[in-house]
Amino acid sequence: MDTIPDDELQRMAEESSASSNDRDFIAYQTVLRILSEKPVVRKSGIEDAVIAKITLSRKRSAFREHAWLIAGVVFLILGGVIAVAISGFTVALSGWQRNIMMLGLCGGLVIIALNALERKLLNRHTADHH
Amino acid sequence: MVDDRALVRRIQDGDMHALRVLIRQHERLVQHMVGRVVANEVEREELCQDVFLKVYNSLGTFAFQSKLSTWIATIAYRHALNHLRGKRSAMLELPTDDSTAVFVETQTPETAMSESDLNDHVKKLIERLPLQYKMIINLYHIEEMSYAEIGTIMELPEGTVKSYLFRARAMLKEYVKKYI
Repeated sequence: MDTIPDDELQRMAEESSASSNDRDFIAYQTVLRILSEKPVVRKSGIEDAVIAKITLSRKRSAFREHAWLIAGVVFLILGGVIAVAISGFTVALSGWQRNIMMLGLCGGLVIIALNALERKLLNRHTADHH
Repeated sequence: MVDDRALVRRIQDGDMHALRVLIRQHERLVQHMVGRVVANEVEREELCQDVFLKVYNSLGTFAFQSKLSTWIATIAYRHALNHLRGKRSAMLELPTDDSTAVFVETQTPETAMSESDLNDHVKKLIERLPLQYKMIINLYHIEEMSYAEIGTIMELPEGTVKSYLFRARAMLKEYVKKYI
């Protein structure tokens, strides 16, 4: 009797309708039956763990962005201070420029003083009415 | 069953419930694939979580050119492979043609064996197969995927998938034949 090639035996074993007393065929049927048994998978609560990791990663990412922004501003100010200190940079103004600057500063101070006075008077006036 | 496209869109919009649904739907697939690589339970769970994190972070690149399950299985397979490469595992080595005999001969001598004992022995033997063979067996017999889908996941031609499946079954058959 001719022996059936293995690939043919596997094909026959996959077709449940086929039958044979060939030892190889029976062995293949056994293998296929065992291979098709679904392993038991227990619930692991993996969803919660994955979502917790995503949330943590988002928080870290947001913190990193803020940290970079703050670090950027701090380094900018520091850089400015160091540059002024090293270069000895000063603002050189001529006589009329200095007068205008002083006028502007005095004007600003007068406006602030008037504003403060107005608020004080307004508060007193309001208190008198109550 | 939730439509894959709708599910992916919802996750991309930040719906965490949709992500839970996706994980629940594919948990078994990922656990089986990772389980073929890692025996340690804690390590296995960590790998499964990493696979789903990768899936979540890469959802923007998924173009629906394959089924969502095929894409997730691809990520799981590559992740498992990288894990093994990191450990320089011998599981990555494919056997030569004459290794079937060695695979069978290293087993215990022929004795009568009950059906459940035989089942257990064959399952242990499957764990000793090279990774590619185990993955193909898992995807074909447990996940009931086609040769084409398995080829996509493992980046192998269909013919190679068929050939590996044939060789893996032949190796197991030689073992089983001694006990029937």
